[in-house]
Amino acid sequence: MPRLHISQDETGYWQLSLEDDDGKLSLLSHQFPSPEHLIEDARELVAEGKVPGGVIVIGPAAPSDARARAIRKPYTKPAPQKALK
Amino acid sequence: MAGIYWFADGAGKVEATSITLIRWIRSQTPDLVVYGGDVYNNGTPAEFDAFFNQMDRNVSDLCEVAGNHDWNTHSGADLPDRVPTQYEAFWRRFPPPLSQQPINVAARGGARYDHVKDIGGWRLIFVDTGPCRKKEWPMADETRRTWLRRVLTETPGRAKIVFAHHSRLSKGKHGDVDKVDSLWRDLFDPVTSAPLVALTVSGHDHNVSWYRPRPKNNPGKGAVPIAQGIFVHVNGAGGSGHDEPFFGSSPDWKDADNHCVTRITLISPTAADVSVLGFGEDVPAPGATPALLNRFELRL
Repeated sequence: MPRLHISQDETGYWQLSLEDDDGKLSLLSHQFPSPEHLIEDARELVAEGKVPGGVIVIGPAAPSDARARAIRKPYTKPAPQKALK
Repeated sequence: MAGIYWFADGAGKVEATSITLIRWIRSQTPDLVVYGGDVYNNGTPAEFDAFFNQMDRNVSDLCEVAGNHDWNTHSGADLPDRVPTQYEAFWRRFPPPLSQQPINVAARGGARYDHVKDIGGWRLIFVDTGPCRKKEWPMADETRRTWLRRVLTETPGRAKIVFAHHSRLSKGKHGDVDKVDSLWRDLFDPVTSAPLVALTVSGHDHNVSWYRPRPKNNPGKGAVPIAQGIFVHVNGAGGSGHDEPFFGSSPDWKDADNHCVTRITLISPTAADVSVLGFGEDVPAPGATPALLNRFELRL
């Protein structure tokens, strides 16, 4: 069963990654300032059948003080990741 | 010569890029700026207030084709009478000439925002596709098809560009939007299948794609001679993150690494250039200037 992982990555921003049935991770979106937009997109991908039967997994937000420290400059594209370690 | 600037999918709640983009655009003395839709995250009053601030509290040179996020806050009516309430409330505060966005209150639903501008020998056609993530255009309002047919044929030639939030072809997190296939097909002559416009410009996926001319049927299959097809440009890289090219038809050129503005230079009634200007992958610093990533020629 595919999974759509929404998580805050090492850049401090949020990303959406797809984990297929074989466990392969693919980055779909990154550098989003909040998870809400990605949650809506993930629901749409499942509803439209682009990720049939997909399970949406949402990771925790970093504490705000840690998030402020974590914004990485200059920004570089993150690797895909699972929402829960 | 006229300069039309487009950026999309980058304004609203917490987005930080759009103010840099709009300030650079205005430094280029644009004839028109088109915001291609989506005031994040739900087109609420507070988010439109943020949008206004991001536009330097000036929308006199601006119109907006609404996106699906603008339509997240809508009236209780069923389609086609549903309206994006705060999108409409915002733009009604700024009727032309305070903005470039007219609202036809006599029309139903999204048809209220469809309009045309004739600039530099070209006809620019703005079509609301906000609900097309879920509903097929024209959302059961056939008067929109009649209107589109009229504005496509009442002036000669195909020096015409259609602007809408959703694109028939796209490569990204969303990919091709099949629910605007009916709109796409209406851009061709119903008898001869000859294209009636030169180019479509859209957003939705947060990256940039360019497709050489594509035909009425199976446009994702590949390019055809310009006499048989329409160029397709997607630029939703206006500042709210980046989408990787994953789902959808493969473009002839793409960029998923930059926040971008598109400049359409209307050179003559038979010639236009489309330039993609990139501000880099990171949130651009105030005062940043873009690099030219690519330039495409439309020669009719």
